[in-house]
Amino acid sequence: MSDPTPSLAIGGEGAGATTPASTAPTPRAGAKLLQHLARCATTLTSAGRASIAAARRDPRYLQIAFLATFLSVGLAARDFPVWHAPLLFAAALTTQLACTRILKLRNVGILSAVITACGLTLLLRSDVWWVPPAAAIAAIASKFTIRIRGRHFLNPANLGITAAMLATPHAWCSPAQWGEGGLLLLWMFALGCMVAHRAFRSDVSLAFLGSFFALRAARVLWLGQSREVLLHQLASGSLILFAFFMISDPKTTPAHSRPARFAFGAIVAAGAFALQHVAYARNPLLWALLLAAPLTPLFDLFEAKEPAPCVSQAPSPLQPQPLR
Amino acid sequence: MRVTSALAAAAAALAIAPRAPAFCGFFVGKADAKLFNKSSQVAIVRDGNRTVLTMSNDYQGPLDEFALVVPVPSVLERDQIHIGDRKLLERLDEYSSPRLVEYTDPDPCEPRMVPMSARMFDRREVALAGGVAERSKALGVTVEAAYTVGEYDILLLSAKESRGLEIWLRQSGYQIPPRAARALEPYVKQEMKFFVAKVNLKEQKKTGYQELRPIQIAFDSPRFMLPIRLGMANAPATGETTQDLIVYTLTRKGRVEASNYQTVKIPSDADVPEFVKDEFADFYRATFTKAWHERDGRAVFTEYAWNMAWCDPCSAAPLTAEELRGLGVFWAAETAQRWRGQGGGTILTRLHVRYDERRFPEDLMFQETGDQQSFQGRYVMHHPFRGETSCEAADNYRTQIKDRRRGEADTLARLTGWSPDMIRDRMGPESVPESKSWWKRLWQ
Repeated sequence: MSDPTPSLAIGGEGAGATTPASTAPTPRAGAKLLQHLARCATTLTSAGRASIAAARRDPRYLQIAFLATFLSVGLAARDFPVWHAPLLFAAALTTQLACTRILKLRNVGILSAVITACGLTLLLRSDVWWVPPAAAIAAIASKFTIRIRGRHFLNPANLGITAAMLATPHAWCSPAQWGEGGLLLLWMFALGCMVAHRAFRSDVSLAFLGSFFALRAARVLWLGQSREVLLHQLASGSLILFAFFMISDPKTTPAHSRPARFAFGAIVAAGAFALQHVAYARNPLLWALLLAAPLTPLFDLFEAKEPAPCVSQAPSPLQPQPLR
Repeated sequence: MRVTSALAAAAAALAIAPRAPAFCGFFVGKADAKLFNKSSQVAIVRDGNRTVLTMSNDYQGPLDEFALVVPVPSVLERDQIHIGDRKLLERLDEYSSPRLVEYTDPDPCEPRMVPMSARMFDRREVALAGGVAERSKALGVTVEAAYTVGEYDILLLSAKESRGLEIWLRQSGYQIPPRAARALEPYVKQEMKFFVAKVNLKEQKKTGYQELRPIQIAFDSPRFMLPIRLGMANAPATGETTQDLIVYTLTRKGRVEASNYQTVKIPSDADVPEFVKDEFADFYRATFTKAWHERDGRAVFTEYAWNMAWCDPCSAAPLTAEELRGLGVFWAAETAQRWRGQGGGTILTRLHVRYDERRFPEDLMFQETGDQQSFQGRYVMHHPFRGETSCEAADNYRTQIKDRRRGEADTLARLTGWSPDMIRDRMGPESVPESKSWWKRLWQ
């Protein structure tokens, strides 16, 4: 009982749903009934514990909690749009369920779609109603349609935002929209989660952050700028979201080799840096990840030791499931 | 001789927020003169990589003592430099200023619709600083080009290292602020050029203008940014160190926002008491300052975002295609036909930045969004009907007025941080006593 199966957690139904039902009480002596009730209570308690454990072990619950906190920070920042969230969530969940049904895949639940929808709500901005749901549909549908060797390699939220920005001027991303006030807390929270929750740890995130920080620091030193410039550049809500919830997606990063994941994180950081300071691109993090995404199947091709996991398979609850 | 050097832009006094020395660039004064300008106004026209910058400041000192220094991406040709018309920035300002709208209630005994007048309170002054710089090529500084345009002598400099540029400026007779080399360094490292303008007194006399006109420069640059860091080198060592800057952006697709600082809208659409009409400048200054403090002074404020085709209510008529062209809107001629000579097809965003070295460690970077939703800083004032009334509806009306006044006083206190007592005092005999909490009424 203490080890819930992954499918329970991913289905979002909690371990209690599959706890073996206690045997029916026999209408005999009161003592026996009491004994049975006690056994039943024990079973239920352990089921409850298992349910909590499932939530704990599937980092996606923690991620959703984190993203909800982020959304609250955004709301406190007053200029944050929330009007498109209901449409966006509805579109994401409907697409997830529809694709699962049409392609006759095993239902893996909606947690990943919720995380993708959270990411889109947080990052994508628009002044027309149809852009957020269209981006959500593109994001979720890409998981099922754009695949190499049975595995999707484009981060869904990343694809949704970039596709929307390419398709229409009515979509944009406001990287500084959270302000700087609550960001220190969010950094601490994100890092705290990594320390406290083993499943949150991601080598890709750390490789990306390390490289990104090193490149930024080198540039600040070269330009003779102050330390405040570096701190200001790190006080970015989109950087936190990107590092902990987008690039760390185990489904769209090299699956088999830790050095490959380190390399992937570093390449994205270097790409973003070059896009920003050589090509002067806006939202360089998002574009860098999109451009680097084809490297994931390439790395996997060279490093493959076992068949790549498929989206319809239940991901391990010990793996984080960022902005999918 | 003193020289003012301004590394980014220009300035204009902002009558409603004249609180601080403000300039995108820094002043370089001989004889330790404490020279400050009050606030700057910059208009940036941008489409693709094409950029036209109009810079204006409020310098009012001796004309031969000041210069303007702006980092630019390349050595500008003579044709890329133009002298603008101050009136155009004033027009932009009038059109986009936060506004107070007044409505007068009708006779409650004869109810009907209420079309009302709009008024707007705000005046600006504009002036430009000029000055000098010229010298040998020692110290890695090269004079790449020299022009006389309008009343300005203009030099385009390149420098190999910031210390050399600082020494060059010093040797040219200018006293550089202590932090100048550090402020110059990032621009030198990025191989930017320096546009240095000073006033040519002879030419200036010929123009017949009392004040200096804005300088306009047109260039291609992939970077949509405004260098503000150098302006901070000029901030006084003690006391008030923040500077106010108004940035007008004129773009085609949508609203502009800062991409490396939070951009928020100024609180708007609030009903305020009638006395605010006479104190609108104080009111807006207090409102802005409170909003600024609430963001810990780290946000850029949007005061206006609108398609130049129209306005509602209009504090001034939208700029015509001709006026926009004067500001460098190079597509104005193309869109003029469709909009019958009006300024449609151009989105004006007015951003208000109050910055200092600590809170704004980086230059302002911008991005154009696709957002075409209109926004304005708008405050509403209702005049009650004060005529004789003798009907049943009038009793209800009087009760409504009481509630409305109480609400207006609360709104004003929330927006400005002014004390409720002071607000009631200003509202005079028509003020409504503070609503007492239920427990206070209970024990009366």
